[in-house]
Amino acid sequence: MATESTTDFTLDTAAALAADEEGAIEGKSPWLLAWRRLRRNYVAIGFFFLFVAIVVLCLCAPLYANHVAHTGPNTGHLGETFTRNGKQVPVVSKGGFDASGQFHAGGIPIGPQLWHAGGRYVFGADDQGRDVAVRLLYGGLNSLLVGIGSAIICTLFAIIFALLAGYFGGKTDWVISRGFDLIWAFPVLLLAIALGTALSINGFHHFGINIQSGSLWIPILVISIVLIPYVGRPLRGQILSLREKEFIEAATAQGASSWRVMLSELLPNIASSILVFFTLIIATNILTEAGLSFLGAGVQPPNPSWGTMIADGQDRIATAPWLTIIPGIMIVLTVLSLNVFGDGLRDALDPRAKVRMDA
Amino acid sequence: MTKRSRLTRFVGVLALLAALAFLAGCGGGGNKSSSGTGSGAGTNSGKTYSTLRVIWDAPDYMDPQLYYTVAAYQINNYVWTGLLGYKHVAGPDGATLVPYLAESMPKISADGTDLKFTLRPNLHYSNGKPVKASDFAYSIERAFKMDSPGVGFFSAIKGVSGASGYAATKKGHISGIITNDANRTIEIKLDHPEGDILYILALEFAHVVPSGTPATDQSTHPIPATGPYELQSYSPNRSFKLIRNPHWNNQIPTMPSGNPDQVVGTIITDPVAAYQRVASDKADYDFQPVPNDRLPEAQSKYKDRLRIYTNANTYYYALNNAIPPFNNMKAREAVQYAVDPQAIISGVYGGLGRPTQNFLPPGYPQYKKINAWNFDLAKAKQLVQQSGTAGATVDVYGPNEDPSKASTEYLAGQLTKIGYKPKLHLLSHAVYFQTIGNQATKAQAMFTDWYQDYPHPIDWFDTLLNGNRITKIHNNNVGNVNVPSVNKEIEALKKITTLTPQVNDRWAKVDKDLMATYHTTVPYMNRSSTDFFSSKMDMNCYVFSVVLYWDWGLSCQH
Amino acid sequence: MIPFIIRRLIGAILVLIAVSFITYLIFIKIPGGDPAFRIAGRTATAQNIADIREKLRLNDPFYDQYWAMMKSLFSGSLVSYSSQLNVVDQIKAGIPATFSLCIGAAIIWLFFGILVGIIAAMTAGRWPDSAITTLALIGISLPVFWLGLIARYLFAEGHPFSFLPDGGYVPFTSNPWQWFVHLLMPWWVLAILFIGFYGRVMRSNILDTINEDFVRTAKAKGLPYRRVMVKHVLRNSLIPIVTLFGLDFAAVIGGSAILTETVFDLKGVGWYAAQAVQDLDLPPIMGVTIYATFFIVLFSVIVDVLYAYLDPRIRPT
Repeated sequence: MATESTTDFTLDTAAALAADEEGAIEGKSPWLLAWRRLRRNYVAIGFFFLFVAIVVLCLCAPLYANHVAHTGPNTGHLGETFTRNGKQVPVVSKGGFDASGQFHAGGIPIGPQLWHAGGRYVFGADDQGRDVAVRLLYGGLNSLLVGIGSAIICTLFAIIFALLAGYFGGKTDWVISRGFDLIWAFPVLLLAIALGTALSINGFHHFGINIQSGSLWIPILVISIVLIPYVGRPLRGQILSLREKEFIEAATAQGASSWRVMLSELLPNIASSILVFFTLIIATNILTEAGLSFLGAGVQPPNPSWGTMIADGQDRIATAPWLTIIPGIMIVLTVLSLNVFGDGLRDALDPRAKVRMDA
Repeated sequence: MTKRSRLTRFVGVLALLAALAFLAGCGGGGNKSSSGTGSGAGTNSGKTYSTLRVIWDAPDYMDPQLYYTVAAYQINNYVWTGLLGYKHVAGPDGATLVPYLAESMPKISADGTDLKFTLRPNLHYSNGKPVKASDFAYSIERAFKMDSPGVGFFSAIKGVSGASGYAATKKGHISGIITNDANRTIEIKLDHPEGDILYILALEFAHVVPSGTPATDQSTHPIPATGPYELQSYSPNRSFKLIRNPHWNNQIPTMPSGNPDQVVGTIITDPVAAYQRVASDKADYDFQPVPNDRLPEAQSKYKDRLRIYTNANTYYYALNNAIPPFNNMKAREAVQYAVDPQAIISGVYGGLGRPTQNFLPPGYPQYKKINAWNFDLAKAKQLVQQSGTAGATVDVYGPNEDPSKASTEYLAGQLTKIGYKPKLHLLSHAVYFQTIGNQATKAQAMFTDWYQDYPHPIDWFDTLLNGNRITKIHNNNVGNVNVPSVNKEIEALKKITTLTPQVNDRWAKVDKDLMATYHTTVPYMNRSSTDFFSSKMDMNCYVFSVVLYWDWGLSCQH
Repeated sequence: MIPFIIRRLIGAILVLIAVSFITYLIFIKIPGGDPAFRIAGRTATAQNIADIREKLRLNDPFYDQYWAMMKSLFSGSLVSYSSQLNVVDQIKAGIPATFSLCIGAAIIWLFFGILVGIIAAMTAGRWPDSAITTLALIGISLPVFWLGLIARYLFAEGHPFSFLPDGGYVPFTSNPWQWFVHLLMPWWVLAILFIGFYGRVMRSNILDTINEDFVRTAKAKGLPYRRVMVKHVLRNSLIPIVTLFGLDFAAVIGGSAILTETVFDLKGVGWYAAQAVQDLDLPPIMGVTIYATFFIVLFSVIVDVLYAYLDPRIRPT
């Protein structure tokens, strides 16, 4: 009935639109179609550029440090002063007992100066007198490095394991699936914290690998390992269902080796899933790194990361709230842009939204 | 938010400030008996009130043979007692030892190796059972059986040390402690005279518990008390409650009977939350120092409810005197010039501290203020150049918790400014001291601090700066300070039990030699702390004891 | 069905053993801390340390130590290295806070997640959907610990409000109203993350299901709108939610609420675990790991069974 189709089941309309589009544009590769859909999603594109802008900004950290703020990310300025509108202002307020024995509370770092101090302390100083803006950029570099690095490693291993498990099945699948189960059975955060803390004490010096305790490799590896099943399981599921399809049978019948089948037939078909997962897992990893660093099990001091900056700032939240608020906002903006773009990517690659992250 | 000044509490044991106390008479070697006049600062007694609600930090234990943190000590000094204790008064006199369970100060032999005590008559535990002389021996033996952190203090008692001593075998009894229940006598024999033995007997490890108390941690099964209060319940990390000891009967006249009828303690380790509770009058006392973040507010809004005190502690950067670059004296001197104590105090500790160049805290009779260097980066850089160690990498170690972390980061920053290449290692406090106490770590600059166990320079120089006591592992002289002439002087001074002015001067010279002449260490601060109260508490009754901290037994309410 | 359940349970026990052993290895083999030193304190003697090592069997080979530790854990006598507190007692003491936090937050996020998802699906393409999707996306992008700190700052520390308590846990048995008030902020902070996620999952589930053939069939058969929506669409959309919820809830109960518990000073099991890790205190770490893994594995099995029950197509062969 006419009324039913316009007022109720409005979702039908949306689905019908998508179906119509597909029907009308025949003969073009799915990637090109996806690109055209993505192009039209202004919101997703906008957030993608936001993410790129953040990355570029962080990459400019050394430039900013040398030419604008004139200080490094780990250089403290306790006890020093700087010039603001012509006057000398202490970076961290003085406190202590004066000559008559009276006590004065001190230790309040200077707030965001924006443009008033000639480029120094644009976002204020932290409790050590370090420039927050400089640390924000260097910290961003570290957070992004850990987030993207661990996403790459995690996805890579997930793909390998999923392909092996999905294609070979049998014992291989059993072993890999139990491996996934084992890692997944660990309380994720606890495992990450445990590994992170344990490794941050002395580093890792076994099996010929030598990682120093302050190295960024530790959070990168820890987060990768812990999240492999998160990506690996859904991919394995997809491969399992793909394996039964005719084109695989055809390739095998033609005499294609296992590697050939895996790389040329299976891999391309899960490529869109991988792309979406990869984008979204960068976001997850940035959040995970922030959480780990907040608990002291991620990036180690004095290296900044957005998580460590929030941890440092929480003790000063009443007198210097910007120390906590600003790094948090950066995390939210970065993760949000990745999530929005990832969503847009997913919608573009598969408008019926079959690709999901649930395990 | 996870851990606050737990490190300083954990490491910082009992902090006593012997102000300008005249300790000579109490340093052993005399037959001084203190007149047991009334209950401490008599003006505050009799002002009883029903409940004292406190917000406390987590103690390590509530078992006298085990606890070693201020959190446990400050609350429990009214619960369990030993033969000797401190006077409950404000000011320097609070460092005076007076008899508690003993009826008078001991009779000490001429050579200082034999002490004779007599217990007061009619002493009872909170469960009604009588206190026997043999309970004292049991208590000390219990400490050994439990591998208590305090047993090191008792090593001079005869029959303890050595391959067949009680410390090794834990069998039988300590031969150097002879008790007679019928006569209520306790005789303690020492292997050699110990200048600080009476202070050691006032430590919590020597508090008396009933014979037969199991030799395992009894924190959650409160041990019967001998003081005016007993521990009714303790829920670790959560709460505790003290109530009056029904069998107290003023049995220790040198101890006040206590004004609150009960003490209800809530353990909140987050110092901000603790501060908020007291600020909003939901509790009466905040044990933890007011966080730097809230100090300005506390200072302005709650000025009359806030008290600031500086106790006997020193914060210093230890430099490894045994390996380069700091085996070079000029390099060490450079670091002394590179550190700005006031900046550290302001920035890292919110202003709660006083700069120092001495190793001993002020207030000791052996303290003579040193003024040998000042903050001068240019001079520091020059000294580094002259020493020929410029460009050296320096492994800087510190705990991974604020504020110690910030202090360590400051040191690393300053080292960079004067021409070194520091590499920062921040460790969990769980492994920190054993790591820097291990020669194999090869730490070159370290954050460390010391809170006094009792008011005697032996506790400082012998424990921490005596070159003869450097060990491969478990080393307390983390800087490997080893100046032969000073070592010799410390060994000589250790044997002297009477602290005459000449002896005090010699100790002061040890301080000066080590800090100013040989530049072995970089002290920078004596840290201060706060007592914060609700509006209910009457601040006229506030008594700060240099040994017992805020004396809550003498507090009163409006 | 029964053999399936039994197989899963056996697998679960094996996983528990494996997890505990790996955790043990991580802490024994990697960091360089000697628990005896820690317990003995700074002024202890060499004799002390030797004695403590004997008492804790630290000189035994590592598999013996592991076995001894497991035995004492399950017999309830395991004590921690840093404070000699009984591990099982401490975990039990932390359970009320963790359970209160997790169950309360779970109810909130399940209810609002599903509600929000339904609304978004029903208004797909229109502004409520966009608004909800945006909020949901922001919700899943917030670091939970940061949100907690900001919430405390805004609502409990006087900038500008202070009507909510600033962290801490009050047991239900001692004061139900305070228990509730103290948990308000932690509940919402923990739930916001999940509401966003579940809302989106619910929305896409509904949108998918709407387009499935069996729904069109039902429509074609002329079934009433409401009946089709509730009986067919909703029920099918909820199935994946069940799986998700089972695993998330298990993870949260098992200690993933560590960050929330730390920020709000709720001394639950997650908080206890975080403390133990920072202290490198192995016995509580082992205890909490077993506790957490137990829940994860238990819920895995429950979810599998429930899934098979709800969706006959997915019965195990």
